[in-house]
Amino acid sequence: MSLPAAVATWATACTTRDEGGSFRVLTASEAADLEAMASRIIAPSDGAPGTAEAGVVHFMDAALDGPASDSLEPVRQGLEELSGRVRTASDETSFAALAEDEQIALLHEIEDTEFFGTVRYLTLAGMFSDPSHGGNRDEAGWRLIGFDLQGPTQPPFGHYDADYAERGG
Amino acid sequence: MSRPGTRFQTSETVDFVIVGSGAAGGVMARELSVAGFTVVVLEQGPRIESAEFRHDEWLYKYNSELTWGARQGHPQTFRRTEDETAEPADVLAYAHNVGGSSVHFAANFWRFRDIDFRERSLVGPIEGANLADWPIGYDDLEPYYTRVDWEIGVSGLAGPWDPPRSRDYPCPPMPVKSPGVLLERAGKALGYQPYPAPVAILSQPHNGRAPCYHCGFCWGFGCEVGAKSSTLVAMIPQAEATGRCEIRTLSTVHRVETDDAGRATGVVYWDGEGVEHRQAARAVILSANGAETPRLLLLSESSRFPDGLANSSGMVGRNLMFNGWSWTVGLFEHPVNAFRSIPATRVIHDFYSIDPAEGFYGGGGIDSRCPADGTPMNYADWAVPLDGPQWGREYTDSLKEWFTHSAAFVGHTTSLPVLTNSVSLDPTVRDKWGRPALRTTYADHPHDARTMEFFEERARELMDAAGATRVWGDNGADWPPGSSHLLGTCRMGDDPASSVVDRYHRAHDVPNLFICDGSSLVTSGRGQPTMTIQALAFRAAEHIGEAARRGEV
Repeated sequence: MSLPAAVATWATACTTRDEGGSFRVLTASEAADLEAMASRIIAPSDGAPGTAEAGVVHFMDAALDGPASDSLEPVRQGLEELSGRVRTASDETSFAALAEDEQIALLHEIEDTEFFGTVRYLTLAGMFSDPSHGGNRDEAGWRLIGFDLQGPTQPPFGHYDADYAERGG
Repeated sequence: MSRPGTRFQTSETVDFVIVGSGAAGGVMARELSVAGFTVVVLEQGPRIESAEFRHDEWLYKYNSELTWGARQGHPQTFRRTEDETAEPADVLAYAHNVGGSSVHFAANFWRFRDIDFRERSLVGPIEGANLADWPIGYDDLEPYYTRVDWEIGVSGLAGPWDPPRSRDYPCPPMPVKSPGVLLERAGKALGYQPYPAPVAILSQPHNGRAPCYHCGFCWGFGCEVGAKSSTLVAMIPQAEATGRCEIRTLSTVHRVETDDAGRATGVVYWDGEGVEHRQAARAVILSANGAETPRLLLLSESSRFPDGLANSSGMVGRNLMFNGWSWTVGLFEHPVNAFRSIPATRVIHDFYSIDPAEGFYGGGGIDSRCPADGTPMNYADWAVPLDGPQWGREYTDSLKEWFTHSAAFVGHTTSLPVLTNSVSLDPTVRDKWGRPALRTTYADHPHDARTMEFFEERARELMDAAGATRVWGDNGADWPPGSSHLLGTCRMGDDPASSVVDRYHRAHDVPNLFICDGSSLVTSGRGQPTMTIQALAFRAAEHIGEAARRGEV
């Protein structure tokens, strides 16, 4: 391992350790529920790294303390209401504690709400936006969908233009 | 924000003060300073140089880093008709930075054609539309389109489908992408004439600038190598090199001042700290875009100009046109990778004017594109079929399938001028400076809606002919309006009773006030207005400079 790589690995390890359970604005239970919601919203069926590996909830925490701060209270209230639904429908007290199929069923009940729309939006942002904002770690989101573009590239760009160049039209 | 270079005192009366440094303002600044005049350009936003632009979708696309919105203190309101109360909504999109929207736009540079200047004569009156001929025609503008090609920097391929041109393109077309190949092959199969999309992006070095290296962060982003021909890279440096032009950033103009004789004397603006200044000038040029220009005129009312400056016709802010759109996305067997390189590489213009037998008036073009601007978050947000699941396992699987294997065919269409479609001053909502917010009143003319539907139908046929295995689409007629094409709100004309500026962009009511930007357009063209805005700016600057030398400004 080269020195820069070792330093980077150490930095990542420290970040991960520092994050253990500590969020800027989210409580641990709010973070757990949001992470569970995110995992149901983007759900790779082939075992590929998903929202948990991508650190989506850490992106959400930073965004709700930054550019999406207007959404913090509505998200909080939405999570509160979601917990209410969980308590009504089961013996559990948190969304995160439900089984996956129960989570999915519950999300279908609220999928047209503004709250769900906000969490979906933050999930997509945390999964697919630039890793510098705290999500999309190791470009997990980009790798999931095959986005491999970060710098200069040259034709051919895809199958059809390669074929066009080969045939001359 | 201090940069080295020419500085003028606000007390010094410069030849021209230009409000806005975008597509038109940047051209004006360069032309008039090169011609020997002293120029101060006042720009609301900061200066971001090419190397500072980032591949950051969250910042640029979702947090309005360049375009600004309510969060940055610039709320807008919207209503469909004049009897409604407008509600908060971001409708008008324009960038706040040196170079304006020419920095982040998609850079499609279609010339207008003869018919675009003479639709009223050729088509006749249309009920509910305030259609008028331009006071100038394609021939008047052709030399300036050619100057745009060469001096701004355009890549394309001249051919029989082009309007007549006096000179070839300076740069060959950009390399075709897979969506372009799919559109070209499908178009030919259906008997159309697809051709390389002309773009203000360099395919080879030109005027000392580097060509595109296909990074993909193009539409909605600033170009990190300066290959996209924004005025930030193509015009502003040349203006500053004269030593006669100052680009003053973070300067928000809120009033054009006039004297007792009804002449403009300068403009009043706030600097970045909110301190008010006044820049004196022999003449004032507004190139603030089709939304901000009319707002500034309306804010500049006085006892002499009670309905707003230059508004004796009542046309300031009216006849707002956006250009219509349709989106059609298709899934293909092999990798398309539409997210690479520039937005569009092929276009079909066989429906430039729809057959009148269809029963409505309109026209446009269909180009090949990356779905959802080609960027991952935007794609995930809305480019998988909207009638299918938008979250969950099936959604995730479709996203994986579609992202690399889809192409979009996009319709860009006419928008008829309607008197009641407008930008005006909101009576209650204010921006962070305390100015009335921009209020948009807009409903599509029925012909515009039919035109958008027509284009979606043609694009779906093209998708089928291209071999798409699944297709979904929609068009703007079903969506709330919103656009970065802000056109027609200070229209040009010979008659002071029905237009705001004359054929040389001089305000009918104020002899030393000139207006040149999207607001000058009399008709909308077929969906790509920026090249025409810039051709108008080259032409206007030439005439304004000549008039100034004759002492007629």
